[in-house]
Amino acid sequence: MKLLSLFVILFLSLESRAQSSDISSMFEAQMGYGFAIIKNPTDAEYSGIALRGLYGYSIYNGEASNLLITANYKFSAMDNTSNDSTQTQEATFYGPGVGLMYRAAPLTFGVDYNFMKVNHKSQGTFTTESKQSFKTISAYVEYSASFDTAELGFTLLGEYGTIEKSETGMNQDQKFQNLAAFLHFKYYFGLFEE
Amino acid sequence: MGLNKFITLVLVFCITVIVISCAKNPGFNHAALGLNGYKILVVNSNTTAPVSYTVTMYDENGNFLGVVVDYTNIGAPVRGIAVVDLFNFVVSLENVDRLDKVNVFGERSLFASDTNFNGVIFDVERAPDGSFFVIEGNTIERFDKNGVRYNSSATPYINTTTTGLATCTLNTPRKLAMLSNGNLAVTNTGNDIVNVYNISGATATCVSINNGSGAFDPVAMLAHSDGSTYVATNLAANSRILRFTGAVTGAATVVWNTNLSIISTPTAMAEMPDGTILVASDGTDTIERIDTSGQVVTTSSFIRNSYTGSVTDIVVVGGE
Repeated sequence: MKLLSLFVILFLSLESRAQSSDISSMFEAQMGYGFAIIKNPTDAEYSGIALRGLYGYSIYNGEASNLLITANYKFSAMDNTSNDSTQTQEATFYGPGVGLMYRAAPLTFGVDYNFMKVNHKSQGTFTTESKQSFKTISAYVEYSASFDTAELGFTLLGEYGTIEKSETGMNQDQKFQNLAAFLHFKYYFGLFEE
Repeated sequence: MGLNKFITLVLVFCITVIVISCAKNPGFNHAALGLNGYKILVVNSNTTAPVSYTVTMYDENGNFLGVVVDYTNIGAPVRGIAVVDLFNFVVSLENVDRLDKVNVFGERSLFASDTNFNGVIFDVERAPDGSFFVIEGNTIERFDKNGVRYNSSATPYINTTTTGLATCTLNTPRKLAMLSNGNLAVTNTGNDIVNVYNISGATATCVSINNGSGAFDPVAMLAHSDGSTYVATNLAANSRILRFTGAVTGAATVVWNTNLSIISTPTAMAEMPDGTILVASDGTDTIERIDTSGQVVTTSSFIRNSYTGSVTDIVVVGGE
């Protein structure tokens, strides 16, 4: 309830301050850097390049804001931060998702639900490859500077999920956390007014 | 959009990247290393060409995962292994006369050495209190969980003869086993007996001896979860596996009778998660798998490679 109240306050606040716009759909490309942690039994930390693409379809155009349903695809290629001359680990995370995006320029907020896969490649003392599937929930905030029907900006995304023990063969589930920063480019279709 | 705004965006991005990537706490993903489930560690000390002194790791199906640690270059035969936890273990090293602590990534460090620990080193076993027992010549040394030798004097924790039974003599001891009652059992190939010691006190007391193995060099020994203690004799023509009571009392039941085409001169045993027994067969340079009734589980050898010759110890660890 508190969260809903906060969302309403945020919505009304931004609705009164934001620029007016009327859009039909949106495409967004993001490129950045991510930092992921897979927990249990140790914290395995990864960092590396992160890419994300979104398509949004507007389901509400308000006085000063828009609500879009989105489809996205995430990809990140990361190295374990503990890599050394005897052991290395690479992890490639990728997968599609759906979500909601609320835009009140210059800010945008969104949530995603993704169906992710991770390919692990280990080399050194232990040389193995494995693949696991898991689901994640993401929340992100964006700040954008606009010109005509396009925007350039910055995105900060937090992602959380669980890799189930049935996927890994471990005795316990593994917690997955990811924090990523992106530079993004957005292009809006449809009428766009300032 | 002005240039200043663009530069600001890039700066915010760069600062954020630096902030989120600076909190490094090293660690590997064990599932991605194949360290999920149970793992088998095999100690190999082949003193004939090609010489190799290694600890190798396998999954529970016997698939080779990697060489965890290799002491060949420093000429130190690995004579025993004791599990500390899922990722760390202690190995006993001949020639250099020391115990090393090793983790599954092959990182090793000195765990214990002592001026009075300078004889011929064989098996190492970890007690429930975290201390380690190591065969040294015809004695047994004890180190605490921090690697400190138990006695400050030259006298070992268990000497060749000790209090208790007059006939309880260490004579070419080879393997140790912690029994379920807390006692320590020792196989001796020199006098063909299994000694059992009470190790609860400041000095050890010999509580029993058992010559039920016959004059066939008892070497490998396994305190099994079924409550029995299994002993393998490795005199070439009498490669048998015997089942004793958990306390190693009374007569033995022959579980595996000599069949040299499968098990020849067994040197080490370990219990798998399902209760089956891995047996290192030195004559065939393989590791075989049998059940407790003596039936072969894996018709073709469970593990056979260049590291399964002259196996001195096996342990099964896991699962996470």
